[in-house]
Amino acid sequence: MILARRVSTACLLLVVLAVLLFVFSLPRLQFDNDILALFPDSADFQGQSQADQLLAERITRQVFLLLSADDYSQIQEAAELAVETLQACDCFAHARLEVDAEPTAELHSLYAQYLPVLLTPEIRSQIQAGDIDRIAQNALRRLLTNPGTGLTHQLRQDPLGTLSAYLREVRPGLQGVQLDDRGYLSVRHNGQRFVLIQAELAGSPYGLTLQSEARAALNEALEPVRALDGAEVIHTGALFYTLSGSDQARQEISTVGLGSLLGICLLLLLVFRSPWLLLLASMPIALGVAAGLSVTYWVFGSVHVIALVFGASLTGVAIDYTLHFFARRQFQGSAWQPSEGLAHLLAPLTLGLITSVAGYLSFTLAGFPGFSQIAVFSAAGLIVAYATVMGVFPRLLTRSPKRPLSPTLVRGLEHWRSRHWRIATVRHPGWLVLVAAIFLAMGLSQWRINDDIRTMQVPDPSLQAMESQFREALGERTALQYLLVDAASRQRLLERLERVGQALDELVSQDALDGYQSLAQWLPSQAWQRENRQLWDQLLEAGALAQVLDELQVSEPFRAELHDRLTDTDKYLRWDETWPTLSRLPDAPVYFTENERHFAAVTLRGLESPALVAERVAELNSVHWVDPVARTNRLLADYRRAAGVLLLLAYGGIALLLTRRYGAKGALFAVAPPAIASLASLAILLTLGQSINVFNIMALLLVLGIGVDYTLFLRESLGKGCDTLLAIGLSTCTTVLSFGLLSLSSTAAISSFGLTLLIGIVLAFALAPLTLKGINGGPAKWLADNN
Amino acid sequence: MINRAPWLLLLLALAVPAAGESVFSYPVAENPERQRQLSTLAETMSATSRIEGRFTQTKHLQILEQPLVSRGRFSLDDEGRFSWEIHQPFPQAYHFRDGELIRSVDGEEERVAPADEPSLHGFFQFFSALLQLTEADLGVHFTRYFRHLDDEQWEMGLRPKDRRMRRVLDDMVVLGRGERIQAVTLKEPGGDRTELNFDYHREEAGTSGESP
Repeated sequence: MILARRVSTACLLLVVLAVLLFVFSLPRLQFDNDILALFPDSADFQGQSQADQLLAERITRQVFLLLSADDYSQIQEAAELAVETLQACDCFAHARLEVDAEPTAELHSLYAQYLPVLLTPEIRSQIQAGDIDRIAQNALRRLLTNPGTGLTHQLRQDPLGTLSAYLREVRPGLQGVQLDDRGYLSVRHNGQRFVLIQAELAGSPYGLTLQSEARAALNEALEPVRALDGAEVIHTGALFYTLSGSDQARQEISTVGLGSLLGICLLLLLVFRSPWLLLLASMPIALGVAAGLSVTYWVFGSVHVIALVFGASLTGVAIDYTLHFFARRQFQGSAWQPSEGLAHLLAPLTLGLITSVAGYLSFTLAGFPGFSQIAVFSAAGLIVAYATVMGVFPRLLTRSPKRPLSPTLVRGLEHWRSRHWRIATVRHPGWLVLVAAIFLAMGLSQWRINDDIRTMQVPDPSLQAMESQFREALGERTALQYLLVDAASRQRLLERLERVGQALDELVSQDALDGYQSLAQWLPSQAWQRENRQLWDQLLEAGALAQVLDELQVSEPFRAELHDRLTDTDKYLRWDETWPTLSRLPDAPVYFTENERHFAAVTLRGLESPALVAERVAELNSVHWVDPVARTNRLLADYRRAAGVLLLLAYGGIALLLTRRYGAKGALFAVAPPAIASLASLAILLTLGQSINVFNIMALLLVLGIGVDYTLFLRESLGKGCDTLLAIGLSTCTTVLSFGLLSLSSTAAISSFGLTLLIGIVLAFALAPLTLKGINGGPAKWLADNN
Repeated sequence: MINRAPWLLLLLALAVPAAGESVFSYPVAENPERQRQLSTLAETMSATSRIEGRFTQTKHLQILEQPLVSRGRFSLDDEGRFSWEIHQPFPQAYHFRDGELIRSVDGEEERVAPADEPSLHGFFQFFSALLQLTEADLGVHFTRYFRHLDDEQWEMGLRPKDRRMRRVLDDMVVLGRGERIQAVTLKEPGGDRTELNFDYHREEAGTSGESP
């Protein structure tokens, strides 16, 4: 009793400290909502994370709109207005209907100074083959048949057409994109003509503020478009997937979340018949969430929104502590003494807390930053919720309850208990064990796993359809897979990229892919440039330029100027003057340094045979094949296995912890109910045709945390009285209402988590009385004591 | 899409403007009479469903001792398909419709993306607009000038509004007779000049496919 009072005082102090910490932290709290922050650095090799991030940033900020209507000129005007609306929003860095020609023109001017060292593989082969006349004739044809203005400029910049061939090679334009009469980008698809708007978000599409601003701006911009006759809008970009995800989450929160909240409130009101107790029940959870927020902020520097949502849900498990306290008080009725209640609840609640916190903190071992935050959040939350129940409740609920439990409920509980507890007293359980074992064996024998992220999180089909339409219309076929090349110096990197390019050229000729984009195409290595220079000199010596200039009858001063410029030796394109211009292009090649090594990503287009390309590049030195989807799937498989090991370790650890108090047999029977419940849930899921993934295993960790609480409370009360039954019964109902309803989620990952928990918790409750078999003396003694 | 009428057909050549004055002394903006004249002309031209003829392009470049001459045929049908077939000095054809440009060389067709050859796209974009659009649309990109030289002949001056376009084009003079454009002269900032003369006489069989 004295120990209980001391614990209560310490708990009160802890609650006060938690409140002070929260008040101090509140103005500093920072929330993080970048989904990538939840994933661990899963790189298989150096540089991969940064390459992933750079490529993802480039892609995720893009927003594309294809607009069409019966009257094309009307859609042009509507598109102009739409662009103005989008530009007026700070959420967009830019929105345009025309090509931004400035960065490209800047690069072309730079390249024009280095004409002799920039040759395409085709022109190199023609020079090597001595096909000089062909090059000269092609140049003449191009110059003489080009209508319009700018011929002098063309002749000065690129007399043999080698530079324009080089630029075409480097930047193959999207095949489907055209320019309309106003110079706007337009696309023809399925017989319809669309105006293309390209926009870039000012920040990550995962930012909640940016999402809502962009949504408002897009709605406003597209409203007049949709009002036109025959209007059609195709939109694509990561933003629309995140908006769809947010909508779905909001809808599920408003249906599942609200349903669960209402259900829990109604249940508590029916049982305890006091609005005051209902209000009080939320206090440990509120203080727990506040503590979770502050502690997570101080440990991690910011709180991820997902950690807040899941952490708060897990902290919600703390309702169990409240339920035990209330149940004890209601059953004691007029005999209620807070100190007696405390003494009675101290052991089970403390053991429950220790096992839950140990269970949650084991999440940190998985190495998933998201799980670690959830673990810290919920552990801190549970401790403070426990402290609130133990420290605050005895001081607020000093009087006995005004309205005792309904006699019907009490009778019902006693009836239930007498039947439910029989599970522990079956005299010859052999046949039951056999049936259960057969069922488990049959279920588990169908063991199937599925770690494919694409089946766990299926995006909105209408968005996928629009994305396919968009890619088809524009001829955009950039693959998700890419190559990462690294080297100790820039020049070595460029040389390696050139070797990769040669291998890829072969694969292009074998139709394994359509093309690729590599830094070395934009900026050849010095060695490659020197080779080009020699070939260029051969070309001039063979008279290609003279042939063109003679044919055109170019005047002598211009001829001399051109000759001087094109024969100026030792002029090579240098990194320091090229990269600043190159990096400003919207589709600049990905390059970065990490730990003094240089990295470049080679992106692939129209990848028809990924396996063939992967196999071929595997032969090359310092080239890595990166398949983000396969890697995520591998990661999920690794975490499924790791979570499985954690689960077994957690069972072992808890059993060991309980051995000291209950002995080996008692500990075994304390962990058996959640263990059997977990195996049975897996068997049921497999029988239902589901496959097992990391989320099922994570749910089983919770089944352990909550299920062990049930057995501990029952074991500590020795199965006597109905207050424990009421508490764990209510706990089962609230858990089913809060987590079990997640099984209705349309996201497969969340749904499988919810379903596993639903089945697991109901079974853990049903099997909980088995713990009574672990009492010393066996069931016979327990039976004698209780009958 | 606005007036599809082919409103400019060419010609020109011999028209001699009033001494010392060019068409650029006759701005259309804020002159209701000229606006009316231009609108009437555009309406007349919009009534023509198809135009076709021959062209001669002569480029006078400062750096060349002799002008460069190319010849061929052009056509614009009532669906807005614009063809530009060069017969001399090399056979080569361009087909332009709704912003899509196809180049045909030796029977092989290739799609020319705007990003690859922006100036080529610009040329077809403009000519397609010149032959298809109403004068109001030309007004988006150019400051317009207009005058009648006599009852039949007229002259239109165009100066680019856009800074980037001004880098490659000083101005343009379009000469017409009735509803047909007879000639277009493009002047570049460096002093180079391109003249396009159009001939609508029925072509004789066998002229197409001529090679240099």
